[in-house]
Amino acid sequence: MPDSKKYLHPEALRRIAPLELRARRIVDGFLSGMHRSPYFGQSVEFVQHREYTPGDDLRHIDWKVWGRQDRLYIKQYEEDTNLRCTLLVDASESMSYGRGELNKFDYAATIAASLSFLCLRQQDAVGLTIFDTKIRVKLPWRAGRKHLQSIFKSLEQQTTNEKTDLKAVFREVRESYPRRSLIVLITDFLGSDESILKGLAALRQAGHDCLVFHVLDDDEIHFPFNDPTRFEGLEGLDPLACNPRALREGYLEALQRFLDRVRRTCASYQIDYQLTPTSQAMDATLTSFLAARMAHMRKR
Amino acid sequence: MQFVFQPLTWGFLLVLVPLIAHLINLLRHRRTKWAAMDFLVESYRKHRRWVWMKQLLLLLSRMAIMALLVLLLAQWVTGARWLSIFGQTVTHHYILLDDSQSMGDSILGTSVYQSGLKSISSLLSSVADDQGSHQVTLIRYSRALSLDAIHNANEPIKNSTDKLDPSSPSSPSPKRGEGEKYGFGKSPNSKSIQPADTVADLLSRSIPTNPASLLEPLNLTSPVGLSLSPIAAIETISPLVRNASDEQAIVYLVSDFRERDWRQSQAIRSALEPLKAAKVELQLIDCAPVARENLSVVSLQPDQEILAAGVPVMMRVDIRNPGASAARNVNLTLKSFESIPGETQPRVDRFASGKETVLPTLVLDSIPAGETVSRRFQVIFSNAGSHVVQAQLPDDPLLEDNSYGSVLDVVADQQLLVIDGDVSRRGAFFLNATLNPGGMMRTGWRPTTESPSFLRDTSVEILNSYAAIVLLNTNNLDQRALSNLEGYVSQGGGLALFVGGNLAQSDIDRINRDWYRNGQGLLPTAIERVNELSPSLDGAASPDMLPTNHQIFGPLLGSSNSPFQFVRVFQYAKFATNKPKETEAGATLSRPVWQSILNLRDGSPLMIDHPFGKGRVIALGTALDPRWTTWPQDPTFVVGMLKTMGYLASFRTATSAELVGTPIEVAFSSREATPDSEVILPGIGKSALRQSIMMVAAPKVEPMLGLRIAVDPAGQNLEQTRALLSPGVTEVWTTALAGERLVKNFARNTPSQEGELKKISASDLLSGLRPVEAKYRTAESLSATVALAGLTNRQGLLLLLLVLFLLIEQFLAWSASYHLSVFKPANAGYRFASR
Repeated sequence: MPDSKKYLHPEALRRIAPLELRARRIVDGFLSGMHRSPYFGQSVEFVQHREYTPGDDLRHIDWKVWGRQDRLYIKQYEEDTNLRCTLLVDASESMSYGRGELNKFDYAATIAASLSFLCLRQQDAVGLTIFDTKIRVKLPWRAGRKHLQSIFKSLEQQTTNEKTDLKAVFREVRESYPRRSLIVLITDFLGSDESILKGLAALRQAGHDCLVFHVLDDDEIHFPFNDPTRFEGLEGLDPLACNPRALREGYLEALQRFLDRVRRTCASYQIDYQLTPTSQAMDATLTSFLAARMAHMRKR
Repeated sequence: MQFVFQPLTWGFLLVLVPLIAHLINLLRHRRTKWAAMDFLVESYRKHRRWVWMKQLLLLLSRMAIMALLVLLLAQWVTGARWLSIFGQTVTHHYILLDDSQSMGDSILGTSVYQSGLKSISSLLSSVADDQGSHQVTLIRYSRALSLDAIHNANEPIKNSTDKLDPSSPSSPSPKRGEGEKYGFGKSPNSKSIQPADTVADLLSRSIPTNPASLLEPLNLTSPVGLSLSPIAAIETISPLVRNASDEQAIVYLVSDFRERDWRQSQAIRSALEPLKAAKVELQLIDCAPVARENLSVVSLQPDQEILAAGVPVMMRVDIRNPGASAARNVNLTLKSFESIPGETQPRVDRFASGKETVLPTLVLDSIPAGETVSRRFQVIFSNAGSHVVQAQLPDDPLLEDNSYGSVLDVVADQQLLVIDGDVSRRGAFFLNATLNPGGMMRTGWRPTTESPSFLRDTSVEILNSYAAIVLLNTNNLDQRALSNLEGYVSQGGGLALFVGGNLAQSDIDRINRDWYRNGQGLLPTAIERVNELSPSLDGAASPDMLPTNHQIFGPLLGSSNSPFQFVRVFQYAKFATNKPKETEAGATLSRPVWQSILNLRDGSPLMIDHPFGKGRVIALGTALDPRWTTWPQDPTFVVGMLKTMGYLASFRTATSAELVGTPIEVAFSSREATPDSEVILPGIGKSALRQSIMMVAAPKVEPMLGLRIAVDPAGQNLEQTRALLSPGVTEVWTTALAGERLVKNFARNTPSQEGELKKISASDLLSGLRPVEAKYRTAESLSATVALAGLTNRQGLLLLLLVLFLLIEQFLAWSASYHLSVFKPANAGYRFASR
């Protein structure tokens, strides 16, 4: 594994405590490994030449330079900075679960920080909302390094508590961000299923493009418990003592049904959905985000 | 419930271990915070009943496994009938061991009986190594036979002897029990069946790891001198088999399977029918690999003549060759053992006590296969007493039938009562001179002459002291005299009746009325009249008297010239010849047919012989009177009278030889001897010393004392039982009040058929038993092919159940998701991530 990619994996990220540094490493490692540069803009302001590498789009080759020097270079331009990205991060108590390197909220915060860093690096405007039953932090769309520090600080200072009530949250978000933007929701969808989906539908109807990162811990996906266990519910649910192996099959079936329902709803509202286990490397997450950003840019 | 290893039943506490582990696991929950409770609760609500049910079944199956393990280790044994639904639980081996005399057939010092014991040992060893619970019951044929059955076994033969006698009165004294085997050919009645718990050598014994210890007492046993069938033993175990329906029973007949015993096996088949109904497996274990040549002494008897001191006795010995090839140059050793007055100590190291005399050896040039050869020899005893004669063949495979003993109770003189109705007593004088001539000539007879009134005034007891009675010129006897005579003859006495003298028609009518009594009296046939015999025209060429094939004159038949050629008969009393039907004899034998001893030239019987009760009556249709016949002046008269009297006296003589098992009864007066008696038993084996036991005679009717020596096959004293069931001579020594020792001998011999060693083929044996199915195998192959009937035993069932419960436990554990292999996180994770 090249060093640049090292920090895309949760086990490595866990050792990096400051969120800012963690986000920077992620974005740098992600971008340095990309062979082509589709995400550089199509504006007229030229930035630089770069030597062609296999995989680059042939449309960006500077043929004049080739005619003079018999060498292939591609032209890079600086993109426009008028994208508005809204990050919605779930900080309910269920997000505190995690037996791996990072719990779900840590993972969600890391995603949010990385996306913020990536957006602000391209001069996009980023807004942040952290919520549980209500909105606990709300940062408006801004661009600039100071705003980035505010985002990092907000994410680092949050702790998880309370239940999730996305219905009220989405109503407030819709009012807080009236202009169309790219909304990135990072949540585990636990504790509020139908209300989330309805809230997302409302955002879509308001003209926002939505991207959902469904963060789940590996334990929640695989349910790997063997010994008799007393499960004490987060978000105030009653405890249950059982033989987890006997219930595993039923649990996985129920989880599968839930995921299918979420996935179908997202698809029906043209919401990009990404199941994101906390053990997954960050590059897939960032790739999904950039693809959504590109789509959002094209629609504009 | 019973267990072989009772202490291991504490292991049943292990049944609680799964329960305790289950409870501990319920208390030992690890705690964890969990976010996705909705899915977990949904799964729990959906599956909790099944989960609870599976866990309960799993717990019960684990407890059952522990219980089954303990049952297996503790070796559960029980008689519960319901378990028979699943198969037999205990295998019971019923071993019936033939210990008849033919099992003594030996080769290189090892008898067939020992081979049988060895095969039983192999069988038990194999069974001991087998899985499952096994029990063994072992009964020898002889022990299964009741005391009465042994003692009464000769009775039917005794009757059949009576049947034979009338048709052949000249036949020698019958050999009691010959040709009969205890139990063969007839089923024992219910009273003769012995309970197994009293006669079994081993009764329902568990088989230890080393079964040799079980058989140690049996190694001291040997074949007995009896001819035995398995019927009594089968009848003995039948109740056990029928009452133990939860057992799998296997009956082994360990025998030598001789053709003489098994050719006609209907009785055995009938005895086996109940076992077949009880689905018992029958195995025939043949211990005798091949049939071998053997010779037997089947009889040693004195002629039916007078047994008196100083009088020579002719003995007849019969040698049988039951083999397949002729025996040549066989030396038959003969010995006599004469009791000597004043002899004080028995000789326990010899065949019999007394003065041993080796008689000239008889050499039999050839004994054809399957035939019996007879030889006669003479023996003489100078003293009165109980003497023994022994015939001994050279050693062959079966030793016990090579020796045969016969006891001759010789008296100093035989008393003869002569009743003469003629006042001159000329006939009596003439007869006395004939039977006791005096001087150097010794006949053994001591005649006494009395008048007919003596018969009236005497009693049967007094008459019994006479060996024979002769009636001369006695045509008129009152009823009391006739009654005494009939009582005397019916108790074994011999009566010679000379019909003649001054015989008027009224005398004939009286004789027919009193003596014939329409067939119920002493005369077997009526007298028709007095006939005159016309003189012969060709003189000596046609003698007046013609002997028939009877013991008295039979030996004279072979001569070319008739010994009676000079005898003239002038007149005679004609006997009616309308004989009773011979078949009537089969019913009561009280009036069997008579046989003529001497016929006249015109075919009329002159001298007839017929049985009356236990005795004999010989009637002559002539008187010792020159007006009737010249026979008294002829030399043949002397021979004829001596042989006739000897013949008549022989029916009171004790039988000289019996079969092994016949009880011995001795009676003597307390005024002559003390009740303390010393009994010398037959020797066990060829060279063993004979045992001596002390007995006390029991008081009978004053002043008589009685001593009874009976065989109890199930007796506790093994050595005494073996000795009493061995062939040989038993001596009863008593002490007279005067101090001298008295001895009475009894010979007991091996049944003649035990010497027939011809084998029956396995196919004939099995076909003879059908429809009873049996497996035949030789003793050699037994250990290799022991019936592994224990495969379907209780332990096997438990093992099967254990395996079944283990499989169920594994299935339940898998079903209840207790198997770690069910969890494959990588694959499961991929399923979600790929969507």
